[in-house]
Amino acid sequence: MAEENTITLKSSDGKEFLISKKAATLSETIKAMVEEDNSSSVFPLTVVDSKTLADVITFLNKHVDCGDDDDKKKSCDEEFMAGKDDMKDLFDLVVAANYLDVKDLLDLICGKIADMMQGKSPEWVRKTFNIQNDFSPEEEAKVREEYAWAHEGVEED
Amino acid sequence: MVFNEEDDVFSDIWCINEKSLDKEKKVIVNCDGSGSDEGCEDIVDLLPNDPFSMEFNLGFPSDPFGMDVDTSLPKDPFGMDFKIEATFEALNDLIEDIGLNNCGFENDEAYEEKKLDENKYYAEVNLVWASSVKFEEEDGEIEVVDSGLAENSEDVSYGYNNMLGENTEDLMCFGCEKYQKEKVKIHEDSKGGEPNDALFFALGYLEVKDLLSVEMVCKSLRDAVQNDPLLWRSIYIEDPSNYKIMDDNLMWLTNRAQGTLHTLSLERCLKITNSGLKHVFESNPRLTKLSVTGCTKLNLECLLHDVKVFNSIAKPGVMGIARCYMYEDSRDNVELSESHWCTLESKDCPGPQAESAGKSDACEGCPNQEACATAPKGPDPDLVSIAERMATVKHKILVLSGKGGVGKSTFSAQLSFALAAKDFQVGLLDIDICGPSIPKMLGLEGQEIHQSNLGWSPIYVESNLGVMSIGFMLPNPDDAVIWRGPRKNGIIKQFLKDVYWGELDFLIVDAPPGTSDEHISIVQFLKDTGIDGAIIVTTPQQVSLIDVRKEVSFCKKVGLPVLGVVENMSGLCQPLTDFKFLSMNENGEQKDMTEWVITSLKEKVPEMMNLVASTEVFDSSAGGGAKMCKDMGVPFLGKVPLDPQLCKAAEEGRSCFEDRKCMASASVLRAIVKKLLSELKEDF
Repeated sequence: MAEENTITLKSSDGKEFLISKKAATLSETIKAMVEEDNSSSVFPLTVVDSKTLADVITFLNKHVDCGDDDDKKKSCDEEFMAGKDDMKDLFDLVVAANYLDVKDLLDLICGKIADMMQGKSPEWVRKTFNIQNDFSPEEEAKVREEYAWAHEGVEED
Repeated sequence: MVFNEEDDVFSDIWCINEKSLDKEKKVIVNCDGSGSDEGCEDIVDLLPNDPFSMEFNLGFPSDPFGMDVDTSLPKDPFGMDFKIEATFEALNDLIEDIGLNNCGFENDEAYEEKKLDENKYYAEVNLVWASSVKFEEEDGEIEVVDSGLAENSEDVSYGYNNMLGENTEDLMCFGCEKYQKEKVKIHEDSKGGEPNDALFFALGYLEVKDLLSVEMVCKSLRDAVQNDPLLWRSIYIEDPSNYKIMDDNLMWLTNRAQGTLHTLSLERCLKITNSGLKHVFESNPRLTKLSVTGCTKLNLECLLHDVKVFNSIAKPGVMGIARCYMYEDSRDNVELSESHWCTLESKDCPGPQAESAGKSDACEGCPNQEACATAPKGPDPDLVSIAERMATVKHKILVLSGKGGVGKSTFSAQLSFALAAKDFQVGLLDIDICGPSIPKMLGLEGQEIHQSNLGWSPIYVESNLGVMSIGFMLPNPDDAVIWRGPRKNGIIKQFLKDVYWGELDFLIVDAPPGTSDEHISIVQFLKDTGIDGAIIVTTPQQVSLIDVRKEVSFCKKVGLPVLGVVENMSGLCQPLTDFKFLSMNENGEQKDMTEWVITSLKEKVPEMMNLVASTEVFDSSAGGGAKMCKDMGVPFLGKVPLDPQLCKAAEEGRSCFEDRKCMASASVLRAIVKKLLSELKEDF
């Protein structure tokens, strides 16, 4: 019986994780895999590494425990997000959440990233997300002028 | 002079003046840049709906596979999903064509197949992303990314090396030739690299202001932001960009939704006009939610009309509009004086003043629900103080006109003189903020207003004729008052609230021409205290009468009784002896014959010397004011002729009733005043 209620997910670096079917199927992608093939119990997820997958599984388990209680979910989410400040980890989670099609997780992480970017200058975004500025100074000045109306109150660098 | 606020008020005026000039400059700059509609259309032309299409265009300029990039968009507020799907079909064709289907994953186990399918799409998308990013490297140098796109695509291609392997690279070649020569390399770059693709997911969660910020970060983010209409389906303009946004900025912003705009919320966008919103309606048929909280420049009637027109052609149409009216007083304090929520579907809105505001069933889903629920209930507190001030005023009469220059101020001034001459206590209030002519018309130029503990004291021409005008507050008579609607409303409110008129029989309000801010405010402020009615001044010309009809409609709409229409400048009328007589020859040379005519008249027909000569100046063959009044069902008070003596009296600030010089007009004016008084049932 235990066989039927749990499945194993295999991360890109070969680690295996045991997870209840109920939690796993919160991911639309896994749900589709499971429905497609009832006989297997090991599902390789080749774009998700073990660290990220562990996080995702924590999230899924928490959400299953919360059931339909939105308030509980909210506090769970807050707990889950606490201490998650590393950009690389957040990005990995976004990619994983998108791939696994877990809308709640995607909303949560993207919301967090959006919050971080709120009211920030382009320069801040570049620095924080390690992005190269490929605009020429002229292009940048032009754009800056065009958007002058929108950029009042944006934090300067 | 104790008018303490004057300095502030006028330094404010200049501030505003400078600011507005500044804005004008910016607008011009905007028009040049891609902020204009033109620029947006260019982008639209280049990239229909899908950022990837750029790549297809480049890779296969003639679109050999007949890819329809314009496939209908799935209703997903989240950008990437749609991109994956939209690209998938096109890519699938592509893959079939290059024989990817033959590389053998049919042989894989059944359960793997489904997953691989999905992974494949993912891989493809990543590759496309990566190569599209490459394309933007204009300097030709290959620059890759410490994490993110390239890494992901590499991960994926490694992961499926056995299945996709070479074909992956083939696919990449289609995207960018450079890729063929130099394989994807990862190197650290202290300057940073391309944005992580997770960032693109987060775009869907950003606000408009931040989206515009992100757009300035780098080219790939710019393209992602600009070309994804789904990011712009809901546009919320809030503090602080709301103060600066103009019609063309809004147009440019909403155009990015490429017709998919769903929700538009403007909060205190003081520069957005009805015509600006109308343009938004025209290009966004899917708009269903509109909130225009505190956009003081918008006319509600006009907006409702536009929305009805919009709803008649658009499905499902705008479900509701939220609107709060806000007034800004001269010190920039904002107070909520009226808020309004109109549901076009149902009329169940309790109104913002109601106890159940924001709490009734009809308020569910209304964007203003919270504002209504928390806003202070009851009428504007200033209306109470206005009512107190006006309690000592017996009759309030507005003098209006549709056109400028028809003689409103002259008529107001002479009416005040006439009433004062009958020993009534008269107040004359000039609410023409931009063109105050009352001080001149009453010979009060250079006078200043005094402030006492009772309020502002009017300037008295006679003991029973007090005058108030913004003209008395200008440090220099040539200074311009460059104010927008809310500030005009603010000063009008102060005139009503703070001026100590004392006991008055009549308050004559001289309004500017038109049916605009000043008119709406004065009617709104005085509504509770009761206005006796409006006198509309016109000239006999058709052009003037056309606008009078509008003015009459305005009065009917706001529930203001029309006391009557006065036709001014109705024919030139003066004693024969005041005329000049000229003889003209063929060359147009003129010779003054006046003396000869007068002496001849004196000799031959002396009784002609007492006649008054009259001639039509404006064509009134269409019936003039009298016929218009009949058509519109309003009383006609009389025709005041164009009397040079009256004009002179007005210029000098005299009453035309004092001497016998203005006999041509004074008698008519007297008759009009008499008619008016009988209408008001006032004994005299």
